[in-house]
Amino acid sequence: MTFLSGFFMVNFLPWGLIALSGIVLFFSGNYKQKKWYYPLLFIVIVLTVISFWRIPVAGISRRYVMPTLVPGIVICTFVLMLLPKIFGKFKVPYANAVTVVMIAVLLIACAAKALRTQEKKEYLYDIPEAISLDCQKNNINKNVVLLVFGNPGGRLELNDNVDVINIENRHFNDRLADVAYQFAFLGRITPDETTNPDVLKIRYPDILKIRYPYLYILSVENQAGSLSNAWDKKYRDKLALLYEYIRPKDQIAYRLYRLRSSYLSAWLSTDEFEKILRANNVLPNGDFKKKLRVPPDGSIAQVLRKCGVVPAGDSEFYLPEGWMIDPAHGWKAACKPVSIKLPGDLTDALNIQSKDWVTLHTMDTLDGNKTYLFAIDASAGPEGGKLSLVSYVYTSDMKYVKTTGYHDISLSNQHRRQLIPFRLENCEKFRLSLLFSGNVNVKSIMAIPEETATK
Amino acid sequence: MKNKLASILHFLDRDFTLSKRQVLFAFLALLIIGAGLRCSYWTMRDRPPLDENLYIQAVEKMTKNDDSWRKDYDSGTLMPILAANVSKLGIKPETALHMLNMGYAMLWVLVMFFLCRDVFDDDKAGLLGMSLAAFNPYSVRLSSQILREPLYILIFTLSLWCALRFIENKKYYLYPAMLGMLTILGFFVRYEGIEISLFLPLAIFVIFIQYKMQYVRVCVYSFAAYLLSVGLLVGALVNFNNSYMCNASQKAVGYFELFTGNRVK
Repeated sequence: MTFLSGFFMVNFLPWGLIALSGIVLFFSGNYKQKKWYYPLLFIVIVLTVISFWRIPVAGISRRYVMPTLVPGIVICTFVLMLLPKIFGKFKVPYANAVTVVMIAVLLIACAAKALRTQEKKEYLYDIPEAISLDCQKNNINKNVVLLVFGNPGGRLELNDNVDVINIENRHFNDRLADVAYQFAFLGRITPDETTNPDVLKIRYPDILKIRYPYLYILSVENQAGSLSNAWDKKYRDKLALLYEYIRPKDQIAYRLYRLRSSYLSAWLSTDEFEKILRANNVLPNGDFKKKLRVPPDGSIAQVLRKCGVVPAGDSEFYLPEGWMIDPAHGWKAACKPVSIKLPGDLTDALNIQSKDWVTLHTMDTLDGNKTYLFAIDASAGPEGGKLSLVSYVYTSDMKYVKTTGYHDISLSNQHRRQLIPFRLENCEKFRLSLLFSGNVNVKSIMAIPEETATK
Repeated sequence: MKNKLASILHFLDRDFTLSKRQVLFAFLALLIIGAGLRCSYWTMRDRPPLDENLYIQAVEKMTKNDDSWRKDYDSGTLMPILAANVSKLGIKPETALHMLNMGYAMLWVLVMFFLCRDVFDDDKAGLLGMSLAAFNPYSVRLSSQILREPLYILIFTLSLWCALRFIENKKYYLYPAMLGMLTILGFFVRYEGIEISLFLPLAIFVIFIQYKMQYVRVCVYSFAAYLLSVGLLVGALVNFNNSYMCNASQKAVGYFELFTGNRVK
């Protein structure tokens, strides 16, 4: 049934019927003596094999076109050639003439189907206009973003200030399943929630809301609508409906929603937001410029030597004030050598080089069960490097209890400021750790509570 | 009136035998009608679908030697690379893609003539198959858009024709070698193109049930020719593809991506 459904979906119905009846005729007649028997047998085998291998891979979809189109035409030709004989057998008058007329009708119908009038997609014009007018009305000078859920069936001619993110799913043919999948995508966190339920949750819409004052969402859904309610349930954000078009033939709805960002970073200029960051930063020594000398004979220096840390410049160890390396967790004695350079004459950033993971954590604890906005300015050295934000929970005597989450920071060769929202759950107090691997430079790291980052 | 209808029916009912000239005339007429239908649909289109935009952007970036096309494009690379080469002659990327697609579609209509003619060993069957191809509504629509299907269908049809020639003529070297090359070309257009690799085993299977002898020789010779052509073409295409990458690391990434179909983050 799957094969038949696919076959008729992509082929013109009369043409598909002729081709299928050809397969039946081919196997029911005794044609072995005919010269064309084995070539045609090959075509039929190809059609069958190639159609069926796609069923588990692609399901019923337009991908059936290719395996059915070419062999189908050969089989169709076979039937049309046999028709005069079949008509003759049933004593149809003018058998040849009837066949010629049938072929002519088939070809005219094919041409008519190919050149049928296209459905006018008004919404493809209306949606860009609605976004443009809304931006004008609200005096938006910054870029906005349009999230497209599903395939709107055409290209939207948007202004240059509209960035587009297509969230298209190719695994489902059912539109409702599509919407469900898209929600799974939006709710995706790093790392996967299912394997590590305690991780800090990075909320995808928040990452966009930090950057864009308005998020526009175009949803292709059924008439009853599912996106708005589901969004409200998941993110507790009300979507405002800006535009709606319901296609008469199948009641598919094309809805444009708007979501206003509450993050100051989306509305203020970079300099204005920098002032807010510096005024409300809860992390110590965010630019690592204040150094703390580690006593050379102390226990910390001994651990550092044991762990293979190479002092930078002279024989003394320095660490950034307010931060501590953590030999107890995530740092094996075998991982060496490790080089730590603090901002000074030769470099303007904290530079850590190590083949294995190195942990640097805050001395003081921060309040948990709330959201922070982290601003990180980091880059990777020429050999490449990795940096992760991690929150560890310790006992009062610095014994590791659990990890409540982490997030990998994407690094390039150039320094760039990244804003990351973290919801810190399942912990009253936590210590923020930076996990380094490879060659990483961190110019600054700041964090402000959500209440000061939003308005 | 009745007499007129009867005379028309009599005319149509005669046993058609076509001269070479008539076959050529019908052949050219079908090509022109096929092209006309496709051009008509091209002018009727409203807005290009989303997929088309992806290809146009990829070719625009390739033409400007901008490697970032790889970030957004994760499909077979042969179609945009060919279009980028045509575009470098001074043709707009979108027009180049349209022109090539029309070209592939018309070539396909032509190949369908040879395919159907060779299966049934009859020019009339060739013309019938060609007319079904020329008027096929799906093909008309596909070839007027910017999609990979017309090129893939052309390669698929050529492969089928090669396999049929192999069955009929049993040329152990030529057609398997051509099939090998077409398999790789198909794979570089769409990853499903790997299915063309099934054609040779299926053709050998048909030869075996037809003749029931000499199949070991057929197998060995044809597979040797097939594998040789696959190896040669893979090497050539990978180098060709990587000429669009700027430095050594990007080239390494290109090799990886081409063979695995995975995009390197």
